Amino acid sequence: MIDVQQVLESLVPERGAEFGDWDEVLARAGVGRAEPAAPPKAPRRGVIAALVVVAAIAVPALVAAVLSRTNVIFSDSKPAPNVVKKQFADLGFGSPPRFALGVQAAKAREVGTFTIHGRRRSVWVAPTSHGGFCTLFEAGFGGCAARASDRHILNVNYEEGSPRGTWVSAVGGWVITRAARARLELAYADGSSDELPYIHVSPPIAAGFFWFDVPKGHSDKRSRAVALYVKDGTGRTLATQRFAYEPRRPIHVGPMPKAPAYVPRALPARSDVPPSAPIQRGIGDGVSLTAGANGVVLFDTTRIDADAAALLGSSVGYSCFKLVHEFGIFDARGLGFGGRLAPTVALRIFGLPHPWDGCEIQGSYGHLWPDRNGSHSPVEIALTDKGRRYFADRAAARDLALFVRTAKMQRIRKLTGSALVRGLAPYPIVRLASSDASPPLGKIGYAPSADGVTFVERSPTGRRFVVEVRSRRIVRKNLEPYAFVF
Amino acid sequence: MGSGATIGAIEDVYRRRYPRFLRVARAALGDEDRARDAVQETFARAIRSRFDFRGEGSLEGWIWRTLVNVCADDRRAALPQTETELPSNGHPAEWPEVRAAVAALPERQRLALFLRHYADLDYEAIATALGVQRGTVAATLHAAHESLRRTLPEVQQ
Repeated sequence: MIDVQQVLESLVPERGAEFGDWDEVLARAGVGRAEPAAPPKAPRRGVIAALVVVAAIAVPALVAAVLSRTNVIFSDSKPAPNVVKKQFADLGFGSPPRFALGVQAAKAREVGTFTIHGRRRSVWVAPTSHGGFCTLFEAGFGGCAARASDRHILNVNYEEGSPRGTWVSAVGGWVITRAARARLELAYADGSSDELPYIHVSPPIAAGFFWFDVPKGHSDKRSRAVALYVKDGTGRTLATQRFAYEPRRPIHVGPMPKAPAYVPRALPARSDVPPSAPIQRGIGDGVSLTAGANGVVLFDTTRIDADAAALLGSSVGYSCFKLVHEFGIFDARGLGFGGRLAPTVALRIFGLPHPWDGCEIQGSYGHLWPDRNGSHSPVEIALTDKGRRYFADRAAARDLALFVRTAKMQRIRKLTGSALVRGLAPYPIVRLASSDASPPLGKIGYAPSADGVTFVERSPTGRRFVVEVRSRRIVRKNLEPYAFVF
Repeated sequence: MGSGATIGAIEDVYRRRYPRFLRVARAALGDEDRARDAVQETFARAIRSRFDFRGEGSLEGWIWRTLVNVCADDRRAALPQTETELPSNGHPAEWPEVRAAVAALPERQRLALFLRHYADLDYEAIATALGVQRGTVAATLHAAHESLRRTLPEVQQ
C-alpha cells in the first residue's frame, strides 16, 4: 500500500532552508525600506559568519539590479491621454480577424519616461485581449507582442546614426523574462558596455521596456554597439541581439532611367463570396454599390457619369470608410484598393466594422486649387446621412486646405497689412469684416489682422473651417481629419 | 489585528515560511523558475494591497490566498494551455502514475492537498487560502483522497 503523504513527499520533496530575496519583493512592490521589519530572530552563532559573507556578495548585485530595473504597477500608472489611446485603437486596423491585435486601447497607460532623442519622453503600454500588449514610445516606435505566443525574451528596435548605417544610435524595445534580476547589457566593439535601465511593468503586461540613446562616443567602428544581451542575476545570457553592419554600396547618382509606363492592376470583377446580410446599397455619380456585412463590396460603374469617368482615367482607388468617435476624437477610418477602372469590381475589405458610412472612387490626378471637381472625389457614394455630411464637409475643408497650402500662398500668408491684401487681390476670395464672420457658401473668406490673417470656409452642413496665421505661423486650424495644412 | 497589515508583518511571514510557499508553488506550477517568480509576486502583491487585509483571518492565510491567485494567473497566462505538470524530482520513472493521478485532480482538490501536505496548514488556513468554508476543506480533501484511491487502488489514506 502507498501512503498519500509518502506520494506527495516524493513528488515535490522538501528542500533545505531557503531564504528568498526580500529586497526583490520590495522592489517589485515599488516600495523602499520605509517600514521596519518584524524583529528578526537571533541567528545561531554558527551561521553569522556565513551570512556576513553572503551579504558582502549579494549587496552589490542587489544595488545593480535595483538601479537598472524600475518596477511599475500597471494598474497604478497614469492613464494615457486620449490622443494616445486613439493611436492604440488604430494599431492593427484593417487586419483580417485571425490577425487582429485585440488592443485594449481604453486601458492604455503611461508606464514611465525615457530620454529619447535627447528629450524626456513617455512610453505607453496597452494590454491586448490575447494576453499580450502593445507599446508606443513617444517620438520613437511602436510595436506589439499581441499574443502570449509572441512573448519572446527580447525584442529590439534600433536606429542608425548615419545614412550608411555605420553605428547604432538608439536601441529600444522590451524584455520578457521571469528572472527577477535580469539585466540588459549593451556591448561595444571596444570591449566596454552599458547597463541599460528598464521599466518592468506588472501583469497583465508582465514585461520590461527600455530605450537608450547610445552616446556619440560610440559612433565609430572601434567603439560602436555590437550586441545587446539579457542576462540573469548570475550573469548567464538569456537572449542576444547582435547588430550586423553590412557594408553598403554607395548610391550611384546618374541619369534617371526612363520608368516603364504604369499599368494599373486589374481587380477582380466578381467575388467568390456574396455580400452577406445586412446589405447596404448606395449610388453616386452613376456608380451603384452593394456592401455586405462580411466586407464584400461590389462597385458597378457601367453607368458612371461621363464627367466622373473623364476625371478618373484608368488608374483609380476604390475605398470605403466608417466614421468613428473614439476617445473624443473624430476620424474617418477607411480602407481600399488601387487598380484599373473596370465595369464591375468586387473587393473584400477586412477590419472595417459595418455599417459603413460611404465609399468612393478616387482618381490618381494631382489636386490643385481650385480643384477640378470642387474638392469632391469623382465618385462619392454616401451610405448614411453621416456619410453625406462627411463628403460635404470634406470638400469644404479640402478646398480651404488646398488654397492655404499652395506654394504661392505659403509666401503670401506670411505677409501683413497692405502687402497681404495686395497679395490676395488676384484670388476669387472675399474679405471678411472680422475673423468671426463667414463667407458665402462655396467661397473662401479672409480677415487680415495686425500680425497675420484668418482664412474661413463654410460647408453646406453649417460647419465652419478656419486656418489662422499669426506671426507667419499657423496657430489655429480645424480641418482634420478631412484635410491637412502645413 | 485591525484593518491593514504592515510590511514588517508580511516580511515576517516571508522569512519564516518562504520554503513552504516555494514548495506549494512548485507543486502548483510544475516549474522551478515560475514557482520562484510566483512567490516573489505573491509577497509583492501582498505589500501592494496590504491595506485591503481586514484581519478577518490570519495574515498568513490571506497571503496563501494571494499565492493561490498568483498561481492561477500564471497558469492562465502560460500558453499553450497545458495540464499542470508536477515536477519530476529528477527521477522520471518514480511514481509516474501517481504524478499523473495528482495532476488530474480538480484544481481545488489539488491545491487543498498541496496546502495540507506541503504547507502543513490547518483546515481554517486552507479555507482562507482557497476562499471556501472550513467544512468544504474537509470534504475537498476527502474527495481528493477518494479520487486518488479510486485511480490508484494501492493508495491508502
